[in-house]
Amino acid sequence: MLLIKSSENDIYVENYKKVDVLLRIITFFWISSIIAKYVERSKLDKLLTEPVNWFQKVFIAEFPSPTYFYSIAILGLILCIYTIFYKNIITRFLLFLVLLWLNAYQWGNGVLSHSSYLLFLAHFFSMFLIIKKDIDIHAFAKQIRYFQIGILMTYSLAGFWKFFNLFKNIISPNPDQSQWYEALSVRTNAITNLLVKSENHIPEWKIIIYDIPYFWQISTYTIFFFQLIAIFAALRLKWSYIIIPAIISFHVYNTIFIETFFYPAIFTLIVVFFPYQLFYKKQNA
Amino acid sequence: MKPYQYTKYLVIFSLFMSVCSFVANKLYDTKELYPFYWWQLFHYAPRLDAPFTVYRVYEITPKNDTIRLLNDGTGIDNILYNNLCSVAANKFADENVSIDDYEKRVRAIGLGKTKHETSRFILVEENYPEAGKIDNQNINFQKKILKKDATN
Repeated sequence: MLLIKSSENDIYVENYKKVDVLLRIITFFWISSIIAKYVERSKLDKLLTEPVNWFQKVFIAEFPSPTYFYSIAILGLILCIYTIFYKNIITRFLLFLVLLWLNAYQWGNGVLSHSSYLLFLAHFFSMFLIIKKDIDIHAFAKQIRYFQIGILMTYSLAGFWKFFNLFKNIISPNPDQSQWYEALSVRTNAITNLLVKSENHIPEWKIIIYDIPYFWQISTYTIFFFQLIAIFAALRLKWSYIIIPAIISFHVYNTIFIETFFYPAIFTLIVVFFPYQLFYKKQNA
Repeated sequence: MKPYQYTKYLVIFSLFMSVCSFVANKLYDTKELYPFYWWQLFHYAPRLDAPFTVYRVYEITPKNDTIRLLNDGTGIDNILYNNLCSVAANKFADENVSIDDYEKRVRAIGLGKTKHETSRFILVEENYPEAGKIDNQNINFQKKILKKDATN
């Protein structure tokens, strides 16, 4: 791997120590938010539970009873704290399964969403990454990069399909599909999202800004490009300084303008890729 | 080999299984088998010239007033309410779902929003003729009540 700077390996390992702890803290809050959702949804009729995939059909075919739900949710909360202090693969794997269950519960009403995927991907790919005194820094730093590639791969694949579709349409135009380079695409996407996700009244300023010519087409494809190259953020720190904020800004746009709330994804990105070294360097000086 | 060195294989496993899922989906039209990368979302832009549809539950009070139950987060959070309405619309179209099951479902959503036991609830399809032409001046839509009957 010629793209990797091995002089950065120490920083990767030092940062990962913080990531490993902070990931569990945000997961603690995430589980708390799922518990809040459970409390709200307990008031609804149980017949609205609608499992979609096999995991849900096997484990959460019906609305879970309080005993079933709380034993798993509280196990998750305990494991979040436990795995900060005691690091072993079995408890980390167990925590991952608990998260998978809670996420499956969260989307157990007939429509799946990807909003928490980054959080459980982070737990999945860091399962084996336990820092002990005898680790080889260089070998370990290499695996940290795989962990980051694992998380960012979703974006790269997303970017890949967007460009694939764009070139496919250039070669053989499909009149039944609209493209993201059409002037009204981003605006219509925002308006239709707001129509279903919130209320009919859309603030005027949110519509006016879409009249800026070419800005949205250029921004859209710029963001798609950053999605495509997302995995490179795992290879060098300097690349992550550009790519990660670009991806976060995409989520922030979605949050503010189309009410697509991917908070778990935003927090996971911040925790995993935050440039901690810039801050503890100052402390040492 | 140290345990941490297996991380690489987790990534390879995920990628491989996702490719398998993609192929299985294309060949056999199955949605299962998804170890974690399934990310074709939004690779198409919204259709600008096609109709756009929103589903909402309407309340009919004992005094025969009709109230559109807004997606404002009361009773059911915004994302769930929207999902539940879409699922109910699918149940309307599904011939295997009985009239009774469908109506119970719509009522369950309505009661989740309002807690008004004495009201009736209906599911309404709101149609905007062209998605690309929706704006704040042109917010009118056509309503169609999704009422399942014996002929449906």
